[in-house]
Amino acid sequence: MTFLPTESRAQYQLRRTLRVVHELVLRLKQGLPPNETGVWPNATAAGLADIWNSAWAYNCLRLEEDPKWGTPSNLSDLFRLILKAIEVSYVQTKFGPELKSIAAHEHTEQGKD
Amino acid sequence: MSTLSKERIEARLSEPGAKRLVITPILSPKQLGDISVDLRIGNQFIVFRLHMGELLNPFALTDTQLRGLQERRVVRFGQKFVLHPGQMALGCTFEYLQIPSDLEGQVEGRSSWARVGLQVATATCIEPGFSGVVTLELANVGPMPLDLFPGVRVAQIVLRDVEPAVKEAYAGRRKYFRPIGPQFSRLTRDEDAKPFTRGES
Repeated sequence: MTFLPTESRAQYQLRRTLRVVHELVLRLKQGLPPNETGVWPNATAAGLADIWNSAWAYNCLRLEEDPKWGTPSNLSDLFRLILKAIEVSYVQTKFGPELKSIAAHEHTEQGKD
Repeated sequence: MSTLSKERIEARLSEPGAKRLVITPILSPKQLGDISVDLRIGNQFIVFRLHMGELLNPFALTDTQLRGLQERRVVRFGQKFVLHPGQMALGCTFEYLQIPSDLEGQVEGRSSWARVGLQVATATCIEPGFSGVVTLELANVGPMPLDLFPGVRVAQIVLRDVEPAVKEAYAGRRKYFRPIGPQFSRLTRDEDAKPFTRGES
């Protein structure tokens, strides 16, 4: 286990995955990148695996609704949203905690004035 | 037509259903001002190839030819894009926006950046129903090269009510559909420009 990346060590939890992927698929249906769950200010960045899973689930859902779905234009739209989600999720994960900490610190300092 | 205050912006960001305003991600609460939301710069840029010094008549070119005059550059987060004095480049917001049918947005630069020579946006109206990242027309009008770091706040969007709400959605009827990076100009698709641009004497 110690050889695995930290995020890969967590036990696979089907219920959690289903809830998250369901929410991300809803975002895709609204034409939004599936980069986070929840809404501001309580949004949580989605992980790479959940983003990929949502793309696959959305693909299956659309094919079930319409067997003709899957044209190059349909897939191009989907891939763009997935690419954006991956980029945003990476930045949210890498820089988000530090930015929130800076904002909280500034808020505290202003409160002292 | 009234401008949305911070309180109303926050309410619309968390409103369920079609009236929800989406600006994702908001990495820091600092981005919400009293009447605006700060926007960060993304990591894709389109620059002109400077060695091609021909006069530019976009209506005499095809989409492909027009794109050939420019090139797309991607900069890693943590690295910089240098905008030289007099240089113009297209960038985009890092945030993905979805504007509901009863709001419109105006994208403007931040004054702190303007004071060091950066102009951020000139075609600033974001229509109701728009979905995607916003292309920014960046220009350095100062005397020094400017380092632009993806992720830094360079612009802001001011939101206003649209009354009555627009019935026909933006999606699918405009030239720029759900972009995730800066978009090349599609002036050549302006059919109504043809009578004026044939060049007959």
